[in-house]
Amino acid sequence: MKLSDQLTGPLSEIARRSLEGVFTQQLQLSIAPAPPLSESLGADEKILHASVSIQGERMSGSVLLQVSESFASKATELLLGIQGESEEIKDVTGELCNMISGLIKAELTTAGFSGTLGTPTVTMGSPITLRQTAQSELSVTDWSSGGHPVNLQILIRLLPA
Amino acid sequence: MTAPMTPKILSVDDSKTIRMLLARLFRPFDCQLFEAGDGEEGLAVTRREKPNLIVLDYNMPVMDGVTMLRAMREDDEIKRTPVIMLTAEASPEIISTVARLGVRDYITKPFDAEKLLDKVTRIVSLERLPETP
Repeated sequence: MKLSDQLTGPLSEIARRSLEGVFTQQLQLSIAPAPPLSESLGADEKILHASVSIQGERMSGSVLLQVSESFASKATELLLGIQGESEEIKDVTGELCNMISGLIKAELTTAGFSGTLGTPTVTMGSPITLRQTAQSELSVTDWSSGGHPVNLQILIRLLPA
Repeated sequence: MTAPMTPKILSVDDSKTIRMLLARLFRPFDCQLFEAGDGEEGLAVTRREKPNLIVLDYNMPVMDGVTMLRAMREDDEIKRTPVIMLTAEASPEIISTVARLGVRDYITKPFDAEKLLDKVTRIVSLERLPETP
């Protein structure tokens, strides 16, 4: 049986709810569907990748949040009221991914897939896509928020019983 | 008559963002804010400063929030320190564990800063500082 058959809806819907929950409550920003991140980025614009792992007995997975550096700066200003330095901007991006991952994990737990969250890691570079392997499901969703592109990916692999 | 003591609040979170957010939230009030980046550091600050309230994360490197809480409850000098959990972790097992360990409240991230402030003021009395021009 596919993972998505056992959840409250498709992974992409869980991605939308989780992203919207964090952005509206913590940043007071709405989200809207948008073209893929690679098409929405300005030339030479850098991307921050924040990822959090989810490990459980029945599944393992990753949540990847990708935002432009300019969005991360804006989020830092909205959240902390300051023009953040590089480390603060990275930390804010990691914390946003941590909160989104918490909401995703809560939905997985409701469906019987409990697990624990890892601590966020944040790097900088070009847009990436998580690689889907056998027994895994991948959701890649693209959004626009506050005029900036946002990409959220969820990769979940069911583990053998 | 002795003057009321300025309350001490300790924020224990590996996220600098959350620690800065709490610093921003408590800045208008007459209180002393302490910070720690993990449970081990949080325990050391708790033993040294005897805070009136701890705002504690669960998922942290070195020592997580539940381990810190267990260690606190076994230490006579700090075992009654009130704790509010502020965490992205919402699993029923963790909530039930920390409830048994006597946490006063459990707030999941994302969170409303005003609601957190409301819960804090039910535990410690916060006096607003006069606004500086």
